[in-house]
Amino acid sequence: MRTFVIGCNHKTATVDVREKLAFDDRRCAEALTAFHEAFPKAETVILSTCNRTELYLTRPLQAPPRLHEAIEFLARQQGVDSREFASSLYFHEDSEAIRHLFRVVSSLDSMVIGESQILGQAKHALELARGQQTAGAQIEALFQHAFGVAKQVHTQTQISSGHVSVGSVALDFSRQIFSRFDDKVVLMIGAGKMGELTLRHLRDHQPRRVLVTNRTSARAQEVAQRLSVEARPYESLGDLLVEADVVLTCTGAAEPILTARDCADLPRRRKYRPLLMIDMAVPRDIEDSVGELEGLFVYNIDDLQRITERHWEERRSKISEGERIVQERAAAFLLERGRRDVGPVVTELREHFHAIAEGELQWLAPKLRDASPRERELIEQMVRRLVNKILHEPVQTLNEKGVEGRGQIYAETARRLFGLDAEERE
Amino acid sequence: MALPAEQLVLTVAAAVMLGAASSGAAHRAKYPHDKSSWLLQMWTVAIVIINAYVLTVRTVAAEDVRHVLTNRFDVTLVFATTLTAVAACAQHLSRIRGLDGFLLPVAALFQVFAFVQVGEPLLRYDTATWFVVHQLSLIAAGTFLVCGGAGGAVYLVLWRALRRKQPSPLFGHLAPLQAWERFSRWNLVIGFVLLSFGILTGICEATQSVRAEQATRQAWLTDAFIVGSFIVWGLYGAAIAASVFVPRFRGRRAAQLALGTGALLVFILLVVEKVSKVH
Repeated sequence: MRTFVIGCNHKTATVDVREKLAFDDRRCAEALTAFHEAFPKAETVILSTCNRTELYLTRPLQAPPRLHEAIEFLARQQGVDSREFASSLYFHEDSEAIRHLFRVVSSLDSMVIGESQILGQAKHALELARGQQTAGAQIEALFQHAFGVAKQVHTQTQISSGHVSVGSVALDFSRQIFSRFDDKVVLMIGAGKMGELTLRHLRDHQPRRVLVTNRTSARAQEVAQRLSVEARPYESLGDLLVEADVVLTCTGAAEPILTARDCADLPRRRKYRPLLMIDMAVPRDIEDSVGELEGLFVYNIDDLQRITERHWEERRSKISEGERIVQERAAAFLLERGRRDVGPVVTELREHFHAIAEGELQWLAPKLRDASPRERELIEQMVRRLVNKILHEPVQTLNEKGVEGRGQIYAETARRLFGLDAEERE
Repeated sequence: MALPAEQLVLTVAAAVMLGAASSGAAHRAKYPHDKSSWLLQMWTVAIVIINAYVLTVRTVAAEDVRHVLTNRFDVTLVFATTLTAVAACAQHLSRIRGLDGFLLPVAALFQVFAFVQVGEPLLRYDTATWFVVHQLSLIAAGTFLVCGGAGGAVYLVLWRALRRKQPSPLFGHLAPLQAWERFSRWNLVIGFVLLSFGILTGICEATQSVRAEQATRQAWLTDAFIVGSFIVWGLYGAAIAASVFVPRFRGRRAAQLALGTGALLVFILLVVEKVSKVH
């Protein structure tokens, strides 16, 4: 059984090419059906995400599709000329293909290393293939093994711990301060792009209310409308700070808009409830010393970026450990699959040769009437050792080829060379 | 009652296991692998089972349930077991995740202290009912108040980590700040009520013996443990009143109060109790 992967990802193809090759669920199902009709003996899964499109294939040794057939199939399905994307494709076979799948599903090959979405996407791709009957026992076993590898990589390396976007880190802080988020009020002061992005992220986690205020009320109205949140007049900023639990600032002011002097009374007015303040502006909107007031936790863009950078470094440092796990598991998988492919032939081969040896010993036995029992035993031992030594090299080669994914062809050859099929027929 | 070899071995083993569990809980906060969490949970439950077994064997041997409450070794072991049991529960509750790391060292401390109590004279009592209620309510109060102090400690550790503005391994592995504030406050309130009840029942029990003799009354009023208990009671009352009625004493200050008073309570139980002559 051979295993292949053909595809492109964010490293090998531009977004234009990736767009051309991307499949949505409907088109993926159609492509799988067409594939099954064209190559009934092959098994396939199409993994299509915004960063990659990959065709995973397993097929018997002599069965189609070949590489060029698979590329042509992709081109036909997407209605593009294969020359437009062929140079962006990569191709891996057997052990490399298996390792590649394990790396992809473990998120070691992702744009954001350690992200967990890819695992769900791979499961969904397998589900689609099952629905179109293109996922047989071979590819099912391969993917199930890959999911196990992904779980091991994530658990052992903690590669997905620590967020790597500013918005997620801001949310992490709020989660570490507040028990729940659905009763909290989020306030954005200003209308900067960065603040808006972070606010979108926080809003997705459904706080009780989201308020926006700006010196120019029209601008606040505009942002509020775009984000479907409430706009508030800038004049009531003091009261808004009392009401809010999370404050995002992103104004273009040259001087801090919130100084320690302005906020001195804030903890008392808030009855010492905790307040998370995130300053996304450059130059800063919140004076450093505000963070020293009781119950106020102030973070600026540098703090958040320093944390995301540290998380990135931590993830990068965990890649080698993840790669080691992938290597080990891929080797174990190949060994297991190789044994499955060549195991029966090895057994048959041994039985066949030992049967010949037994036959010859039986022929020899009457002629050794004068030999002592010890001498007979030594002759028998010598014959068995001879058989084992003759078989040693072929068996080792079969096992090796099995691990390389070429076990079937060698097993078939061995069968023909030593007439094992003939025995079965008899 | 002396400590037979088998019970000694078991309680020493439990003490060592508690030490290991304490460092395991601290390690888990940094590396929260599923496997180690599961192992730690099993480990903590095993400690509770060992201690419970020893206490049961001792109670059966004494042929009197009240014996557990009069023997100082047993009482201390009951307290250590209760704290360990709470830590075991905390390992399953995400709302107070991380508490075990702070509670298990205190439990270990009491488990070790139990050995210091071996051979100490039995606690005396005149009225069994008052005495039993007094002991039980104080064990329960102690558990709640130590939990409140541990909650305060977690709050302060987390507060410090948040103020440092650096990524911390504690983030995500400890429950949020607000949860600890609430947890600590409720434990203090319940603990204080039980402590008040325990002290009242203790007074009721003590009056039986104190009434008889003027000298005994004097000794009771000046005993370090009794005085210490009243100071702790007063401090807890003040801390709770402050955190409920004075907004300034919420959050970090409430956590400091809970931790400080909890530490004083542990000090009185471990040190002052040893110099007490009458109690």
